[in-house]
Amino acid sequence: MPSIDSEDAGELRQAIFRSAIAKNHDGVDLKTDEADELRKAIFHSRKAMENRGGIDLQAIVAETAYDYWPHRAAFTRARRRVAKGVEGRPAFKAIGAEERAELVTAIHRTQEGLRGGGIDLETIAREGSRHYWSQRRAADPVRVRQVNAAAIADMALILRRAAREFAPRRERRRLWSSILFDAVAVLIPWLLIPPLLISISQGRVLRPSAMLSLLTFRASFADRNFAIAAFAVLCFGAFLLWVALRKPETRRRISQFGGAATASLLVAVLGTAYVDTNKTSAGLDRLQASLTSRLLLALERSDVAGYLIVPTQADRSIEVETKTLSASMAMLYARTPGTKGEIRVRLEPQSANYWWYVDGREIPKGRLAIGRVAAFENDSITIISGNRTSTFRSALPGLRLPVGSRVAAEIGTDDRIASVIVLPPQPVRLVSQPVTVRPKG
Amino acid sequence: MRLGHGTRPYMTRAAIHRTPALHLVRNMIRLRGELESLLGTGGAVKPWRIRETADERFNRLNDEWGSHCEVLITRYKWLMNEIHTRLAPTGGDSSRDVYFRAWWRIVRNDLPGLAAAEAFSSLLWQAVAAAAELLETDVEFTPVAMLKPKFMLRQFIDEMSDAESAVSLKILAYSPADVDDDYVTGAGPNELADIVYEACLSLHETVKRFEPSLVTMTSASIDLAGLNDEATIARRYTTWLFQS
Repeated sequence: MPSIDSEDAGELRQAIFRSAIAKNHDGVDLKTDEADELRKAIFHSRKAMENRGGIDLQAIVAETAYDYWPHRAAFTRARRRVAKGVEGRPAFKAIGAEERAELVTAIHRTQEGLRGGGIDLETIAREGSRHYWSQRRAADPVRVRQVNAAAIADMALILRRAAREFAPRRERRRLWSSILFDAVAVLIPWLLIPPLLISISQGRVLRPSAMLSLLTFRASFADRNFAIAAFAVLCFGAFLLWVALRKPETRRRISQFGGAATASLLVAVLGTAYVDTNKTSAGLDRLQASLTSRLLLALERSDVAGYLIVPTQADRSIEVETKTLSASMAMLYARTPGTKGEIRVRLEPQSANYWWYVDGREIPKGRLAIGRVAAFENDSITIISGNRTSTFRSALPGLRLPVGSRVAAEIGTDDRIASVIVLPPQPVRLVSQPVTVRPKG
Repeated sequence: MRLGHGTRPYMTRAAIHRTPALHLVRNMIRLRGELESLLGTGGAVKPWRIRETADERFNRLNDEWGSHCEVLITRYKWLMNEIHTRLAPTGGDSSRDVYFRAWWRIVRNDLPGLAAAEAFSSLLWQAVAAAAELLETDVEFTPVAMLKPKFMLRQFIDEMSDAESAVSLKILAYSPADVDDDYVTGAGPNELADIVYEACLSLHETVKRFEPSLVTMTSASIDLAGLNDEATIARRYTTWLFQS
């Protein structure tokens, strides 16, 4: 069979041009699906000529389909543009007819030179363009080592023998090393994270053991933001795990230390709950405010010992209980989810000194003065408590108290009035039932 | 043509086809960096590992590299025909096949080592002489050496903002495919000359844009000195493109 030469290729191109023209008379770019149709149209021709070789029909079609119409349209526009200026640019008038004719001849000569033979450089390029990087990769010593089948087979044989000979001991060693690594992976966060969290939370967090507190955990997850963050952390961990499992080497490592990794993740999440300092701080503040008001009410009854503090409707989550230690000392316990505090009050005839104890740490808060306002000036209040008259400066700008009213003033450590509650003229009587009752003694 | 293995390539074939040569080579330099990073052990954690393995990525990038090469070479294939016609007027297809393969082998091996994208045209030109086993100063190479400015100007055709002029030069100076078509042959001699002159002015404007790096881009074969009026510009460029 005769082979396709450049003349055949030229004819083929012309045929494709005609086909393209028949399909699209508007001179716009040929659409991809139409180019596909063209490819299908020449498929049978290609089948018929498959043994004749030499010309890549696909390349011709692609070139024709993608370039023909844009080129035709642009060249037509160029002709139209030149035709508008009938004589052309003034500068080109200097170029004579003879020179122009020479140029046209040169254009045709150039076209002859360009046409050349039937060897398609694009086909040659397609054959070899990917070889460079493939060869470089194949020549890479690491990869050569990886794909050395003989070496892999030898190594596999050695490993199989070794597995048979040393299996029990190796298994034991793997087990112990795994346990050791797991333990280290779990213990390190336990040993390092609590001191770190305590330091960064400036002592607001509780004991390290609170990390395991169900109350702490529940309280933290009750917070929507924290729950979302924890869920995101867990999802991210699962995602990383999924990514890591894609690689065999990582998969092996994870199977060995997966337990430790999971434990570490849980410790991190619990630790985050544990260091939820804002929440802890807010809880403490709420507890303190609640206890203060209840203490004042209890004192107002003039009978602290053995009485209970009743939570208000707003603070149902706070459990409060009192315990009398001695005739002059009472303790109030309060507990919120995740926070525990107690207040100790030393009773005196007309005042009470009190301290906060939060998880064993003492926080001095000052004392209380209960009595009637004897005199009131801009920044000082004189309170009569029994036989004793005391004058305190106020740390509350704009405070106004009527003379003769009964007040309970909180005196801060700087000996200034930090807060004042105006009490009813007569002692109140609690009518609510206590939530928790602890009998005296 | 297959561009990827189930993963979308950075550029489609059509997009590559529309990309100017200089930008194409810049893309290739980027691809080279990514391919070279895959030649070693590749053990480091990379974001792309989430969606494809190193082998898949290598194959995809290699395919893209190949597509870029093909499109780049396609723009020079007719010019290479002209070069070979001058080198061996009676050589025939077998000689052309040998020459093209030798030229492509040199280009293929040198292109990954290209220092700057602007120098790609010079690299292709050096391979023109090397594939013929000649020096640029050899007497046998003189007819081809006259084509050097035309060879260097090809990269600027892609950068032309005047699409009509760019296509006109592509059709008339750089490819034989459309010249026999009625829309080309329908143009009269004067009209054809005016189209070429207009296109030469537009090409000159484009070349001037790259004047700072012109020496690197053209291997010092394009000299803009003395091109002061439009007629001179048109004459100089038509000489480079058609009459050398």
